[in-house]
Amino acid sequence: MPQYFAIIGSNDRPLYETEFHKDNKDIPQSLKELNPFILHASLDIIEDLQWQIQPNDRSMFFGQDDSYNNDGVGVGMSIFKNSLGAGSDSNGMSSLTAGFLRSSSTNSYNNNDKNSTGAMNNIISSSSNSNIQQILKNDNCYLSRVDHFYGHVVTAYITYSGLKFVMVHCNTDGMIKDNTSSIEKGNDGTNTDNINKDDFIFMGNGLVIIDDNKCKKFYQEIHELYVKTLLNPFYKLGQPINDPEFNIRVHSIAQKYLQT
Amino acid sequence: MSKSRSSSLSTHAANLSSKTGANQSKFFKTFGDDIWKNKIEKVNAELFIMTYGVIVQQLCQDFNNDYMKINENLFSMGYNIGVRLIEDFLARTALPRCPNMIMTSEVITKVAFKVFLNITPVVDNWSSNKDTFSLILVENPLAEFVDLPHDAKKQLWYSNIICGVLKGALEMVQLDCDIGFVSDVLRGDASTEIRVKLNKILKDEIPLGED
Repeated sequence: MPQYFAIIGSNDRPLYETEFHKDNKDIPQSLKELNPFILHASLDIIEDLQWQIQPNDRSMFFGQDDSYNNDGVGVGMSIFKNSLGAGSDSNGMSSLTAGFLRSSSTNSYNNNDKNSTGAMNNIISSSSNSNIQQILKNDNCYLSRVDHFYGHVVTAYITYSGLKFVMVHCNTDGMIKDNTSSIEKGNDGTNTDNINKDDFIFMGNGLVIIDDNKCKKFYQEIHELYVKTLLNPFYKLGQPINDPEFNIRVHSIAQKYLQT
Repeated sequence: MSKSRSSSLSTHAANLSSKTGANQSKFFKTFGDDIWKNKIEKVNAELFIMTYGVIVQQLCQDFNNDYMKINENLFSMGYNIGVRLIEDFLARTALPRCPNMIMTSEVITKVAFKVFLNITPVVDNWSSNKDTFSLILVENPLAEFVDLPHDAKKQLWYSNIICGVLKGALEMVQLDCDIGFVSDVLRGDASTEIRVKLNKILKDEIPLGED
């Protein structure tokens, strides 16, 4: 499946964008133009997740329903659910890990004081230990699936400076069919645009399946690559990355982890 | 303790100047390693690299990307470092005067570069009369992470400060040399090469700047 990948800097300014695909599976033109918008729409969700207690487990609450596509309400709900889970879940260990940018902040749980028994405290202290380790491995930066749009899945990764790496995993199962059919229609003549759009929206069947491990490794290597670019004294912070070398490296990393 | 050891080493060095080349180069290698290990305070490499990077970048800004002027400036900055650094170098090593350029090259690569940058450049391309040689920097800590902008690739010698340091330091030990880069991997060349050419040996009696 092809992907659309972008690095988004401060003020939602894109620093870099590219597409990954095997030569036989190009992204259909109509989706190509839509990709930046899909990606942009999920930026707000990512920003919310950044401050959330436990961004990584969000996929647990992330059903097939479209509530996240609508507005902030869905996100607010999931925060609520999360804090509930932290208090009552027997699997509290995993859901007690602090989120991105909260490092060893046990104080984020201080408002749970009323049900903090001795056992609870144990869990907190042990989990904050594993937190630090987790953060050192920058595991927390990877947000996994944050959004989806008619079968196209959006994954994201946040760096410590608040930079966002976002990727749209395009669902091509329906797309290929759509593309050829739209070309045929295009040859026929009139009104192709409308038909075209409707087609691909309804063609997608089911979400794209993402291998989280590989995806995380991909993001981590890109992160490393970005840090190296950042250390170049001639790169001005916040400017688009136009270096062809960077482009080549990103693509080789993508080939390694995403195109199997 | 370490003082007495270094003085014994330096008398050893004086004896060695008459010995064969291979022995001599081996001696300088262990000598340089020893000083690097025991007598040098280390700084974080990234801090060093980025400090230098910022200096070059600031020069680019100040001179509006006039790379010729930037090269000159880096060189003169290096020169000012070199004329001071040689004092520090001699204080640490207590090495005697080098009788010829071959030994000078050995000291530069195996001791000076080792002590201050922890690298050992390769000496190559000797001229027939043994007064000109090349230092090939297999690794260049200054240029780590650096990627030159497109318009700088033809003109800027990013690490030109090294040439200035060598020039200043050698001048203080009465060796008037021409030193400059001839190639740099940052520019897309196969290797990073500094050419060192001895012009003349200055007379001992006249201190610098009092003629």
